[in-house]
Amino acid sequence: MSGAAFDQLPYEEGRRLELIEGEILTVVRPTPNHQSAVTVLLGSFLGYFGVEPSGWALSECEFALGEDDRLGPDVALRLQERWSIHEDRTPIPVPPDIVVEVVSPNERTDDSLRKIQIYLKDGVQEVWRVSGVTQQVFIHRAGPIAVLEINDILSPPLLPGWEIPLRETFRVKRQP
Amino acid sequence: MATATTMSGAAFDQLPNEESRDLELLQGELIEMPTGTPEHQLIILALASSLYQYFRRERSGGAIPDVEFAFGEDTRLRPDMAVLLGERWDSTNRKQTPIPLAPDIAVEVISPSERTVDSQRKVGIYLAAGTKEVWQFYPESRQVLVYKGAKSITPLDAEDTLSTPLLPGSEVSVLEIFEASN
Repeated sequence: MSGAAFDQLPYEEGRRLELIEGEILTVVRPTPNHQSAVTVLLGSFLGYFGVEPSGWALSECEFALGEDDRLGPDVALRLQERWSIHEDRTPIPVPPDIVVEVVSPNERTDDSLRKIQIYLKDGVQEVWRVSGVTQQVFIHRAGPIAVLEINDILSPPLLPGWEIPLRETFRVKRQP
Repeated sequence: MATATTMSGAAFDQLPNEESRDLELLQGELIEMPTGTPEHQLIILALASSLYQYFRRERSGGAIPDVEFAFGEDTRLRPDMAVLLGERWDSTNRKQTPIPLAPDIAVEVISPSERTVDSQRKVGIYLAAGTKEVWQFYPESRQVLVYKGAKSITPLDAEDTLSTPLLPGSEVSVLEIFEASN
């Protein structure tokens, strides 16, 4: 269906859908490990943007990326603005600057690559794909994909002064 | 969520062919391989055809579709296409399966049902075992991911050409491979 028709769907408790190039996808409820990574990152971003109010990070908000694309990233960041300017609207009519997608146990890899391609095509600067099972983070943007492993620290140039060790994201204790 | 069936590589090797032909074994866990869709098979055919012509000229190795490789005690993988070069090609027993060494290049055409966690684990296994490159073809987004190491992933799209120092003189048009499945 078209994005316009999707936007008119009645609100239903518990319904979680996305629209990709006019195709409806059902989003399943996340697992604890998935939400653990989301929570750690959101908490960290809250601290960062709280001190330096030059952006915002929210989870599960829907963005209208293209005419027939409606996606709700696990975490979306917008830089250099206050979120109140979007007036509590859904979908948010501008693309996030950074998208974080945490890999779900049963997600289909072809679907998630397709989403990443759409994000990048429609104005997202970076997509971080967080994989708990392999304890890696993949940074998708123009050019090669950067790969971070468990002992690395994620410190993106887009967020000056912010960084997080992958061990913290995946709540892995350092070996004694 | 259903619990995974586990077994050793040795037990997997003993399965009758009609049971194991649609299965892989990933670190002891059985993974079902879905029947290839026409799109999936056409992409493989286009790639196989290109590689076959290359090796007819170069004669320095070969490409084999859909054959099983053994990785250690508990992993048996069947890449859609495997490239073996030089000595690996020459020494592979043509009548025996699984092949007990890593391919030089492993090619996977991603099925609609393939899970991210499985495809990422497979890449890790191939690379750790000595496979020099893994190529993943994604039909929905018409992208190819080329892995040359745990930290080296290059995405290619329809405008790009796939070439590698492992196959000097070979150039595969990404667009052509995906268009073959139209």
